[in-house]
Amino acid sequence: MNAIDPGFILGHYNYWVSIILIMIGLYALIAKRNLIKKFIGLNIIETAIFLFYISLGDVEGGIAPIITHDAAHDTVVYANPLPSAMMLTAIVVTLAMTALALGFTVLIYRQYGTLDAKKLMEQL
Amino acid sequence: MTPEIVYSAIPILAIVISSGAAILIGLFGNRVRYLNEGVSLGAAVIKFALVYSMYTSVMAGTIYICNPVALLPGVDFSFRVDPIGVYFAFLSSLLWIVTTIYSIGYMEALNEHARTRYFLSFAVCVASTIGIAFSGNLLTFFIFYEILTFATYPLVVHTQTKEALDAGRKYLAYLMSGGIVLLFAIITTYIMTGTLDFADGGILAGSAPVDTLRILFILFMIGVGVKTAIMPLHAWLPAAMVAPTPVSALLHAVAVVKAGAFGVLRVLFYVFGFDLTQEIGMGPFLAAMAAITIIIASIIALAQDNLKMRLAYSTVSQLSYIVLGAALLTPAGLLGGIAHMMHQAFMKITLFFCAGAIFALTGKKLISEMHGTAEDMPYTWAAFTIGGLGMIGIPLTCGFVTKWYLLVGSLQADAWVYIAVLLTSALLNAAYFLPPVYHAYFSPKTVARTHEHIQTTRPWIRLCLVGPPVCTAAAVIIFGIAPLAPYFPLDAARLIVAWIMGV
Amino acid sequence: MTDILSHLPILIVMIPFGCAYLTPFLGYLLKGWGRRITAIALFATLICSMLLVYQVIRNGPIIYHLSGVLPPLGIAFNADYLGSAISLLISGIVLLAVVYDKDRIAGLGEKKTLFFYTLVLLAAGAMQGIIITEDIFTLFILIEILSIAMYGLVAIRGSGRCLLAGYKYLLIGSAGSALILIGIGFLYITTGTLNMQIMAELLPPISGSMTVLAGLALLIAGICTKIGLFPLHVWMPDVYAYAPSIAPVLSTLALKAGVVALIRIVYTIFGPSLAIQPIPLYSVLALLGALAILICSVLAILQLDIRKMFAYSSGANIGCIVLGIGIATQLSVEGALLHMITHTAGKACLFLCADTILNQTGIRYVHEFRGLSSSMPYTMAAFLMASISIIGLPLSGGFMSKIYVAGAAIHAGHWIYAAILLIWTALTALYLFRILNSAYFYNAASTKPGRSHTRALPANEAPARVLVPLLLLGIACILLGFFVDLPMAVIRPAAELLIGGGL
Repeated sequence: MNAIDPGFILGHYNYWVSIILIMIGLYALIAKRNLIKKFIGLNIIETAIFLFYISLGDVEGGIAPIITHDAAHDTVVYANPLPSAMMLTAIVVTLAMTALALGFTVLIYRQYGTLDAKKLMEQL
Repeated sequence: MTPEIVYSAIPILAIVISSGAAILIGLFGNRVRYLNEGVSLGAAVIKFALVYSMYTSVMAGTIYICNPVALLPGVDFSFRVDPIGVYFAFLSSLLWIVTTIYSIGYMEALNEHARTRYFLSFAVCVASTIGIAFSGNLLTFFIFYEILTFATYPLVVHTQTKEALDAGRKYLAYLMSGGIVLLFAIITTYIMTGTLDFADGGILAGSAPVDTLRILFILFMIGVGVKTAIMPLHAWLPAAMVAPTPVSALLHAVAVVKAGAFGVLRVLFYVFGFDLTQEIGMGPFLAAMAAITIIIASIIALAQDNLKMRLAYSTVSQLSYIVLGAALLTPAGLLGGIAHMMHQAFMKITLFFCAGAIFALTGKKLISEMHGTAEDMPYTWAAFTIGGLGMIGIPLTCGFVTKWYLLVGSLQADAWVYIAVLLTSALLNAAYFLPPVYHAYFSPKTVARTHEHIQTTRPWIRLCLVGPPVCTAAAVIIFGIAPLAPYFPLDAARLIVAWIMGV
Repeated sequence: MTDILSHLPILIVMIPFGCAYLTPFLGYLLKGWGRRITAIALFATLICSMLLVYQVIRNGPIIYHLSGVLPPLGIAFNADYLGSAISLLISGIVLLAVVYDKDRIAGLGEKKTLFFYTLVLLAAGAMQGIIITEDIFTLFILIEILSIAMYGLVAIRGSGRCLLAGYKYLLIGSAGSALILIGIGFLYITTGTLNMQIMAELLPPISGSMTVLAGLALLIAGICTKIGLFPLHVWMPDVYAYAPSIAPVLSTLALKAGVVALIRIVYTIFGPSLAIQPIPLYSVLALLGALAILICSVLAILQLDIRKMFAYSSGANIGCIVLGIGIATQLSVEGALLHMITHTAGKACLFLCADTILNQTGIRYVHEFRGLSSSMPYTMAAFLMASISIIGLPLSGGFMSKIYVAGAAIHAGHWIYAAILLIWTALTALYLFRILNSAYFYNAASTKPGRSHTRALPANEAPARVLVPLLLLGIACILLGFFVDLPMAVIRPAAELLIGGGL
C-alpha cells in the first residue's frame, strides 16, 4: 500500500471521514457517563458506517441510478444503487434501535432518577 | 487357545435388567408398598440367571461380544464376556441376591427412611458393576467405573447426618481424583496405540520406551488403586463405613473394591499383558505396595473398637492379597489372587452381615459392648467365627486355600519376604479376629438386656438378617473343603490363569 | 404438495414474522388470542422444520430464491443439513418454552403480554432466517431483528434491574452489530457481491489483502459479541439473571443462531484451505474457545445467583463449540454441532427449572436449595437429568459431544485442548453438584409454605402442565446420548460439507 502518496490519501477522503467519525463515536460510547451521550456515540458510529457505505456506491462520473427513457442505456454510467439500498434498511434498523434505547432511558430515569452510568452499574 | 466368539445381546440384557429395575423403583417406589424390595429381588434373580447362562460356556472357551455403539474412531462402546469378566459378574450377581434379602431385613428392622433412593442407587450400582465386568475396552470400563462412583454416593450419605455428608465428600474426592488419573492414563494409551480394546496379550507391547510404560503403569495403578484401597489411597474406605451395613457389605467389601481389584487385573493382563508386565519390571513395585498395605492396615485394625471400622481396615488388608497375587506374576500367585477375589468376598460379606445384624438387632457398634452376646445371637456369631477363621487362614476354610497358593506363588517367584508378610498377616488377623469372638462367647456381658430387644423384632426380619451370613459362611467352608470342584472359585481361577498365561 | 415443500425455507421464516404482525392486533381485539396465535404459529413452524429436515436428508439441500431472482442480484436461502437441523432444534425449543410459559407471564398485564409474544415470534422468525440465509446482508438484518427483539424481551417488565441489564445488552450488542456492518462493507468492496457462495469463489485470489482480513476480523469480532464468546460475554450474566421467564431460553437459542452465522463466515466464506495465512484463524478461534471454557467455568463456580451461574456456564459451552470449530477437522466439527444440540437441550431445561423454582418458591440463590428434592421432586429430577448432560457424565448427550471434540483434539495433536475439556468437566461438576447435593441430601432448613396444585404432587411442586416440558427436555438430554445416531444423520453430512469448503 502506497500510503505516502498524497493523492491516494486525499482521494480516499470518504474513508478518512468515516474513520474519524467512528472514533469520535467510540470515544463517546466509552468515555461519557451519561446514558444518552453514550447512545449518541453509538448513533455517530452508525451514521459513520452509513456514510462509508454510501460513499462506496459512488462511481467516477456516474449519475444517479435512475433509468430514464431518453438516456442511452448502454453508454451511461450509473452510480451503484446497492449500497444505498442496503443503508436504507440499516437506517431503519438503527431507528428501531434508537427508539428502543431512548425508551429504556426514559424508564431508567423514571425508576432510578439518574442517568449516570457509573451509579447505575452499581445497582446491578 | 482360540476362543469361539459369539455375538449376543445377553451382556447388555444383564445390565438393562438392573437399569430397568432402577427406573421402575425410581418412578413407582414411593407409591407401591414393597415395590422396591420386590423389584430388586426379582431383578437380582433374573440377572443371576442370565450371568449363569453364560458362565458355563464362557469357562469352556466361548467369548460373548456385543458392540452396540461406536464412540470414537477405533473405540466402541463394547462389551466382551471372557472368563475373568464372567467370574466377576457371577460373584457380584450371586452376592447381590443375598444382599438384597439382607437389605430388606435391615431396612425393616431399623425402619429406615428414603428406601426408594436406597434401592434405586443399589440397582444402579449393581448395573454398573456388571457393566465393569462385561466391558470390552478401557473406555466402556471407565464409563461404568465412574457411574459406580456416583451411584454409591447416595448410599454413603444415606443417613444424611453431618458425619455422613463429610464422609461422602471425602469419598467422592478420593474416587473422582482416581477417576481423573485413570482417564488420563486411558487417553495416553489411546494416543499411543490408537485402540482401547482389552486383548488377551495386552495392547501396549512395543508402543513406547520402557520408562514411558513404567510411568503409564503407575498412573493406571493410581487410577484403579483408589478403588482397590491400596495405601495410601485407602482413606475413603473407613470413612465410607458410615453407610448402612448392607452398603458396606456389598459395595465396600464386594462390588466397589472388587471392581478396583478387577481393574488391576484387567490393566495388568489385558492392557499391558503378562509378558510386558514382566518386561518392564513393575511387578515387584506393585507387590511391595501391596505388602505394605497388608501389614499396615492390619496393624491399624488392631486399634479399632468399632467393629465395622475393624472390618474396613481388614478389607483394605485383604484386598492387597489379590494385588499381591497378581503382582507376583507366577502361576500359583495369580491363581491365589484370583481365587481370593471370590473367597474374600464371601468371607468379608459374612463378617459385615454379622456386624450389621448385631447393630440392627441390638444396637451395638463397639466390640467392647459385644461381650457375651453369643448367647443371644448364636447363629450370627457362629457365622462370624467361620468368617474370621477364614480370614486367618485356618485349614478347611477357603482362606487357607488362598494363602496356600499365595505362599507357593511367592516361592515360585523366589520372594521370601512375601512369605514372611503373609505369615505375619495371618498372625495379625488372628490378633484382631479372635478376641472379639472369644469375648462374645466366653466373657460376661458388659451391657445387659439385649435379649428383649431381639425378641421384639419380627421373626421374618430376623431370618433376613441372620440367614444370609449363615449361607455365606457355609459357602466359606464348602469352598475350603472341596476347592477343586467344577466351577468353584479355585477351578474358575485355574481356567482364567490358563487363559492369561497361555495366550 | 411439491410446491409447498420447495417453499419450506421461506415458510419457516415467514410464518413467525407474519403472525408477529397479527398478534398485537388480533390479540387486542379478541382476548386471549395473542397466546393462541403464537402457539399455533410456532407449532406450524415446527411442522415445517420437521418436513424440511426430512426433505433435506432425502434430497439434499433446498435452495430458495426470493422472488425468483437469482444471485448475484437476488437473495437466496439455502436450507442445508446444518440449517435444517438447527432450525428443528430452535422451533422445537421455542414451542416448548412458550407452552411452558402459558400462564406465567401474567403479572405483566394484558397489553404487555401481547408485546411479549410478538417479540418472541419476531425472535423465532429471525433465528430461523439467520441459519438458512445465503446472503450476508440479509444475515445482518436478521441478526439485528433478533437482537432488538431480545433487548425488548429482556426489559419488557419496564422496571427493576432488567432495564439496566437490557441497556447494557443494547450497548454492547449494537457495538457488535456496527462491527459486523463494517466487516460486511469491507467484504462487499473487495468482492462486489453479497452472496456467500459467490464470495467464496471470488475470495481466494485476493485473500491476502488487508481489506479482506480486516473485514474478516471485524465480522468475527462482531459475531463473537452476539454469541458471548470470552471476552465479549460480559452482557450475559446480568441479562440472564434479571430477564423474565423464558427470555434466557430464547437467548440460549439466539447464541446458537449466532454460532451458525460464525460457522457460515468461517467455513463457507473462508474455507479451511484459505484462512491459514497470514493469520492462523482457526488456531485463534480454538485458543479463544479454550480460554472461554476455563475462565467462564471458574467464574461460574464463584456465583451465588443460579441464573448468573448458568450464564457463565453457557459462556463456557459456547467456548467448547468454538473450540470444536477452531480445531477444524471432520470429527471436531461434528462434535461442535452435536454440542450445539445437546447444550441447548440441557441449558434450556436448566433455565426452565430455575424459572419454575423461582416462581414456586422464590429461590434464586444456590444456598437456598437445601432439601428441595422433597418438595419439588419432578422439577429436581429434570434438573438432575439436564445437569448430567451439561456436566458431560457418561451415557448422556453432553458426554457424547465432549468425547467427539476431545477425541478430535487428540487426533489433531492438541493434547492441551483435551486436557482443558477434562478440567472443564470437573469444574462443571463442582458447581452443579453443589446444587444437587444440597437439594437431595440435605434436609430443608425450613418448610416454605407453597401453593399445592394437586394432592398428587407434593407441596410446592409445579402443576403438571409446567412439568411436562421440563421432563421432556430432561429425558431428551439423556436420550441424546443413547440415540446419538439420530442427530448424527444430519450432522455428519453437514460437517462434511463444511470441511469440504461448501455451504
